[in-house]
Amino acid sequence: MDPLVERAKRGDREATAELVRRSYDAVYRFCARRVGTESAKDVAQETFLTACRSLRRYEGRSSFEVWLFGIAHNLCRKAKRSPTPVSPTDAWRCEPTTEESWLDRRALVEALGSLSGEHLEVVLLHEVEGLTYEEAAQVLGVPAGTVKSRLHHAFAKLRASLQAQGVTR
Amino acid sequence: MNVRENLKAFLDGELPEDQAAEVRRALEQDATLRQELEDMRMLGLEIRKAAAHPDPVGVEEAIGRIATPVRPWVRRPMLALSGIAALALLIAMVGLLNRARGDTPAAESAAGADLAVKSFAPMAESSVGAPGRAGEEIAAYGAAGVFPERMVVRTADIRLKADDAAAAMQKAIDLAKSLGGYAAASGISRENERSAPVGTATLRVPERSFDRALDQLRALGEVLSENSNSDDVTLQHADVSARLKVLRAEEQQYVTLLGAAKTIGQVLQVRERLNQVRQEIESLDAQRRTLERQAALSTITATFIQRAAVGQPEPSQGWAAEAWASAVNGLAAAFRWLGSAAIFLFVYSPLWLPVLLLAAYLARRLK
Repeated sequence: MDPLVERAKRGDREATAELVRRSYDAVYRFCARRVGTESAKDVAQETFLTACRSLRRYEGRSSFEVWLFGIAHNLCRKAKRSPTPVSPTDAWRCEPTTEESWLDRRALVEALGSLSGEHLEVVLLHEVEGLTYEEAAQVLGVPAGTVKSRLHHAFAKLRASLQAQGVTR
Repeated sequence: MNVRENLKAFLDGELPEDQAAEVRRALEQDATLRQELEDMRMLGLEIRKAAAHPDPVGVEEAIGRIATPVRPWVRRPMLALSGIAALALLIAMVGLLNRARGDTPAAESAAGADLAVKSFAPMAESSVGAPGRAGEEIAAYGAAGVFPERMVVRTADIRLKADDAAAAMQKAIDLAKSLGGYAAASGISRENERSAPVGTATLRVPERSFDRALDQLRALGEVLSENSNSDDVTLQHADVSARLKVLRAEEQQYVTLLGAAKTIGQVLQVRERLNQVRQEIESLDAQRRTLERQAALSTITATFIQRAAVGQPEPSQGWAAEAWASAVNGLAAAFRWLGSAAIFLFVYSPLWLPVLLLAAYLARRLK
């Protein structure tokens, strides 16, 4: 286990503060892509507060960041029950595509928007957050095989959607 | 295995080597598959490029919040308020319950010290044949707060082991007499020639001496078992008395009608009805007197089992029968206890259920 996490588990406030600084950006962006930038700060801070309260239960079976993502994922799900809609621009850049791009970005964002919540989640976790299938499975609380299957179907749908629009270059 | 389903996992390096080798072979042979793989690779790349990277805010604030954690009830004032409301409700309900309990004896003591029979002064003139009049009269007692003193039929069953069953039984009979009662029945029996004699006496003692009689009976031997029971017959007595009063008024009216009857047909008709009413009166009067007797004189059934003399076997049903009886009694007691617990839980559910629900809610929110 990371020595910094071990120190934080023993109640070392400096170590806890250092852990927050180290992981905050990733957790904040994780939250922003799911609940929007308006709520991201609150959810990210709530994630760290929850993590500190539950730190004794962390056994190091996954990386500390993946464990934080698991907490953030649950809090984001709760936060998403609120009626405020999440803007696509919170998760994706919608500026016009450069000449070198393989496809039109607006079409891509539209295609991503048409994915189901489960499929979009695995795309975000694997492609954007950069988690392995196993890590994504830990965050979602599902088997790794489910992540693999969802990713396959998500990409198949994205390809079909983009081909239907005729936007791939 | 469908190679196409494994294409994305192959691209991500998430396939086991044997499956990856299979995909590689398929790719060498299938140009469409190679195109799909390339499309997926490009798509993944475009998704990563398209992902927004908002500038994080609030890291120092987060560190500050962790350094000085805010209590849950401060973060969620509505939770705190609902908790306080639930507590206040609980206290109010307990207070009301205690008050309700405290009121009952006061109302009862206001009725006076005499037995119910003596307290039954007529409440109002009864109207003959009015339906539900008896019920109304009973309700009137309650509404006026002068419900007569409770009329309780008390019974007890006591089994004792004594050196001499016959002598102990005689002492019990004398005791009942000294307290103003009598022995309704008594007798001595033995199961067989070898078994010890068993004396049984049914004693009737004044209700006010019931506890004293039981105390003194206990001194006559070693108590093996004792059960006592109280049956409140106040309402039953009030009901019978009220119906009696109505019927007597009705009887009086029929007597008047009988005097005014002019034809034999009328006389016979009124007499028939009068007889019916008188029969009902007699029956109810007997019920009333029985209740009064039972309440005035309590019944104690005392059984004296003589201790075995040297060389004489104890009067016993045998160890197996005793164990059986004990087990059955134990099981019955366990069921009674469970039943009582269930009833208590149900009756008190307005107190504990909201607290339980609130606790579950809090536990879920604070998890």
